[in-house]
Amino acid sequence: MEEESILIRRTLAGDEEAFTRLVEAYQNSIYNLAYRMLGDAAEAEDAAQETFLRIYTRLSTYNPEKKFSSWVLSIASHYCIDRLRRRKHTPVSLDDIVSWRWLPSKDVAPEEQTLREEQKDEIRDLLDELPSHYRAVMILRYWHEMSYDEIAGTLGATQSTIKSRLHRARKMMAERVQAQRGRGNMEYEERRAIRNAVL
Amino acid sequence: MQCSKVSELMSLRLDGLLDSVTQERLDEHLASCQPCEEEWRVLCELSELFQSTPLSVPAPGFAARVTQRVAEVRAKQELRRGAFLLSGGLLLLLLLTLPSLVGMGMLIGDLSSPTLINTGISALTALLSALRSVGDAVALLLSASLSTPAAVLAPAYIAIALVTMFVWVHLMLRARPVSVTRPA
Repeated sequence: MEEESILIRRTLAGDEEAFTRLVEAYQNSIYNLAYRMLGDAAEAEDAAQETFLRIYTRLSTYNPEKKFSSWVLSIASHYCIDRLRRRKHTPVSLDDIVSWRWLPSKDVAPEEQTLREEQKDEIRDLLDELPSHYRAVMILRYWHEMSYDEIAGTLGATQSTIKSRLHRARKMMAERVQAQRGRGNMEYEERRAIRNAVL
Repeated sequence: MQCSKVSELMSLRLDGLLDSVTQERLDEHLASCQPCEEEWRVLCELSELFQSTPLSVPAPGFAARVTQRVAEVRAKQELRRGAFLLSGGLLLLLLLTLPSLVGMGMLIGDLSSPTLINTGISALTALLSALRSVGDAVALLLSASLSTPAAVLAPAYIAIALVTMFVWVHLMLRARPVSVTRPA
């Protein structure tokens, strides 16, 4: 945004209208990050509001030599990671997860594909299984199209750490999908065997 | 090529960070290793899923709700600032009136009629004497720290008091009223 620096200066001078325009410019990015991190719309709304409050109160500490979007997302990421740390962890068993049955697989029967309509947010289920730092890296990589270097700057980590987290996050998700598919195929085979026996 | 190493390379390839030689070696391994090939296929599907999922957006009116919350926080900040200015003003008032009180104490100290009123005045005198002692101590401290004679200290004291008062008035004039309206 070309006039971003002007809006920042005006906000620092007490212009509320300028801050509202900054909020409008970044609301989708920040809300999306919060929603993908926390997995709940109400929590995401609250976290996004809290992030903007922090941006407002810390704006005087912003270094104009750095990208404003990275600074803003850094505040949002760290806030969400802290929030997840405070949240009581409730593990989800594989029995509760049906999200990945819809994924196209050469071995999965068409009946299984109908479950696709029952899925609300597959991405949310996948991200919920990841540790918070891995989650943040995936979100910044895919939705904010950041390079390894930008993600490292945003999260205050090294590039090699980011590379490692992305690799591990992807591997964890892939293993989960494969496990889910294996389970789905087994159930299908069992049902088919029962049907054949009845007929 | 080891399978554990291949997994890492697959992640880099998804981000377009593999050189052509390593990519060829990876392809060769995938063609000959069924578990790695299956993992690569799932990774590609996951990547496509993430890329095709649009940003989640907040409910309409989000910017207005944020502005409202900022206004509430600012109102609290202004309240704290007001309390700070008020206490500063009271301190300033005390500073300005201290010399006069000390002077009055010295004047009243001369009266020595044994009437009931004078008994009360004596008590007040004792209090003022204590204040005078504090004033003397402050003056001594100032004169000692600044190493200046009392003739210079008095105008300096007045100057400091006036500057402090000016700053206080300036801050008071800058303080803007904040209107906070609750969302419907």
